[in-house]
Amino acid sequence: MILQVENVSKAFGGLQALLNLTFDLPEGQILG
Amino acid sequence: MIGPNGAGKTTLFNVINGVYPPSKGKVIFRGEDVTGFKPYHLAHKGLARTHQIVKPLNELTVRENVMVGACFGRRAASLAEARSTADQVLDFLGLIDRADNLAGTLNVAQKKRLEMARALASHPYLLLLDEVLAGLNSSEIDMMVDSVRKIREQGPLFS
Repeated sequence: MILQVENVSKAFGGLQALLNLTFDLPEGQILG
Repeated sequence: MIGPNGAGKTTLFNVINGVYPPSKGKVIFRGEDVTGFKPYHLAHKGLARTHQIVKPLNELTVRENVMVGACFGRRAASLAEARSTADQVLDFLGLIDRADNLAGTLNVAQKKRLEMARALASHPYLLLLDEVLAGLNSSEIDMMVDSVRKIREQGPLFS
């Protein structure tokens, strides 16, 4: 895998922008 | 990534790219935990991105803008190497005839291609394109999609 995103969350104060995001991106793939 | 305005697409790019650290979770790039690494550090490691709202260095030429990507990218190119890479990338993306013009003189579609050129010149392993087709007409979209496919199919394109 060239990129692995594991349970990523991001909050700005009380605003939850990302919540438990998980995905893998194999090398050579276009993901969109 | 597909989602309505405000869904968090650009925020995700910013977390992957190190603009913001995540509140929790991990970003692993080529097997290495790079969570919270700064964007310039990730550029050295081979992770490049474009921005939804393009902001070229308007007082520099198109070529010089692309050289910035090469100098601060994975190979930390010398000025001579960066110039060579910039010209190859600009030729690939159909901007070589504008290389000596100030970046601020480009139209929106050309600025989008310049944004991609600057990212490509950093010799990335992974290229994150944020809304790279937004604001383009159908022929410009076809050209950009064709460029993305060529990048994927041909692998490293520039010496």
